[in-house]
Amino acid sequence: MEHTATANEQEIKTDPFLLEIIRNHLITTCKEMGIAMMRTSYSPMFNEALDFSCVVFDGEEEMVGQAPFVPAQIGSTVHVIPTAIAEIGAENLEPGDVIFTNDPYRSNCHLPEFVVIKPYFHEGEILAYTSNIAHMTDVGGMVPAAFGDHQNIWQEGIRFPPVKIYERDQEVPAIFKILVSNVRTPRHSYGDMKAMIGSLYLAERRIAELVERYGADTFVQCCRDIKLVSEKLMRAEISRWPDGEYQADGVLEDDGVVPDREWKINATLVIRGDELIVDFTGTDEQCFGPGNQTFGTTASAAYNAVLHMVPTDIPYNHGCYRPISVIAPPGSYVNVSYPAACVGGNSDSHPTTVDVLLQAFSRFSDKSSAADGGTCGCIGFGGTDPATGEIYAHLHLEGVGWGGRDDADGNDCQFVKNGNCANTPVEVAETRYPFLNLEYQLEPGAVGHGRHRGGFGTRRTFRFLSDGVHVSSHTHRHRVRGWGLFDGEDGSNSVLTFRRKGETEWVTARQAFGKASEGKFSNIVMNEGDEMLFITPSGAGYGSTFERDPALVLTDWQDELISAQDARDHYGVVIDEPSGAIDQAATDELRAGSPGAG
Amino acid sequence: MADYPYQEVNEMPRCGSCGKLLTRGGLKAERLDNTLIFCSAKCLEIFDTYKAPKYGEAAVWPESIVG
Repeated sequence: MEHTATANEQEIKTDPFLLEIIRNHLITTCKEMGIAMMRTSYSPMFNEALDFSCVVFDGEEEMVGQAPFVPAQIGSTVHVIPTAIAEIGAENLEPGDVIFTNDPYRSNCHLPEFVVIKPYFHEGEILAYTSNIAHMTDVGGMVPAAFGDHQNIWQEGIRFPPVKIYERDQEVPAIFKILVSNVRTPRHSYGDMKAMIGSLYLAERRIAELVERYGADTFVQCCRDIKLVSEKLMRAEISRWPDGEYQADGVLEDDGVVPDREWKINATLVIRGDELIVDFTGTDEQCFGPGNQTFGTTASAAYNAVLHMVPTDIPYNHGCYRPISVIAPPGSYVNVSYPAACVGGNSDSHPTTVDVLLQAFSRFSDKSSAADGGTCGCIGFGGTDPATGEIYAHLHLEGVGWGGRDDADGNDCQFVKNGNCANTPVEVAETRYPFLNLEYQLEPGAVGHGRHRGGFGTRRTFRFLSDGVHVSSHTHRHRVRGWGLFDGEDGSNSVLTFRRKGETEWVTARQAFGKASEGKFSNIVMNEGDEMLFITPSGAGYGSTFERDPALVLTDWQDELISAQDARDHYGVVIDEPSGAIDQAATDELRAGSPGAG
Repeated sequence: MADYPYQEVNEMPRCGSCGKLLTRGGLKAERLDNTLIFCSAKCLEIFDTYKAPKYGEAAVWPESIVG
């Protein structure tokens, strides 16, 4: 049998200085694409929430450039881009063509993720592909802004298999017409698509500059070596982990269709020398609602977890992914089969999958972290704006607390691990949409305590300013809490409640509207003066609470994040409130026992 | 019936190892009395050295069997 040289046997052929210049040029190109997206797009989803990712692939259809965009999207491009190119056929591409797809079953993350891909030709050969994957706010379907309790793909919205949306630099009008006639916000969707495609042209110019300066052969060799460097570093890191199989599992609390039925994600890390298999055998069958993950989402979650466990100086590109293999049984919760729904898999199941894998890593490493808030806080609003008469759709994203880790507390109010997204600023949302933010703050008190505690979630209250606002949601952790690590305490829950104008009691969607779930539902109608309260979950704790530095406990109390009672009950730290100092003798006495004993 | 212009994803095979949908191409191999399809030599190797030894006949997913 012919021997194929392993990564360790292959030599880097490019001069290391030149390699760094070209590698950084590709990263900067991706960043520049992102800036172009921000400045030319129409929707807050792009220009405020930054829910998009720009990547460069080489002629071998492997990623050579990315930047700190959305991990969930970046990981899926490893699969969706070659899949889309294969289906169209690289031999059928011409200069100026752009491929477009949003099909989740073809290794995309979910339906709102629009993917555009442009080949870069040099002397008749494809030397690279520039690509952009971005979360389109509205994709038609049964709810504004895509997130609800869908039970099939047709309810989720319009689906495009890979098609050419540009041919030889010209729009394909039929594709644009079909797209804009099937969404609630056609002008925004058209503008956002053009922003995405515009970024591809920008990147193409930057790659052309590289090829012109260094030559095509050097560019091609550099791309190979960029990947090889990362692969060697990644394999070296995996080699340091002990061979063996490490299992963990966790659940999603419901699917929005069957009340209170939990759905298990089971994962086994199989470490064999410098290779890693992430085996999801044993995961539950696909659910009836939209929580299912596509193959692209699951693979992406696996990469995401692994990249949390390796040094951050490994350049991120296709070489990082080569030593990682994923096994995702078709028809399971982690590899959805047509025509099941899957829009929430990328938002709320992905973070749980990452946390399950980090739990598996904790079997042999203390560098793992406790579970985070586990939800993107996706709440969709839609209706007709009384001020303009225009139909709108807005997707609200919210930060959560992250889990404590070996060297620090979890981050407060940060988007979960699957995205680097931002919230939409209050001022922007209130200018564009008919609601007010009555309060927006960290939610004190509710947190997973530990040697390194979880980060805090947020509390926000909206008041609607017009009638007929349709509210839909796909949020998690209303019942299931993020799990602590190494005796850290579990995180807190989400709260999503409503209050009609003039009423005093807050009620859940289940209580007031007969929905199957507190967090996953479609089209609750809010009217002028009605209010909605959303509290996001905290991260879980890492390590025993009694090992927490009392000075940090005191700081949390001074910052009004925990009460003196919390300090005593959870940490065994007694704070003398009048003086604002720690009562050392009382603390020593309490800490002589075990956490929770007092 | 006229030629149908589109193949739906549930008519396409899945890789016998990773489970990814294969829209085109793939590597066919006889394994456990079935003709399976794999997206790469790497996936085939993982099937032979990990999946089949660990799961036996259960290693074969119906969606990965091709004629």
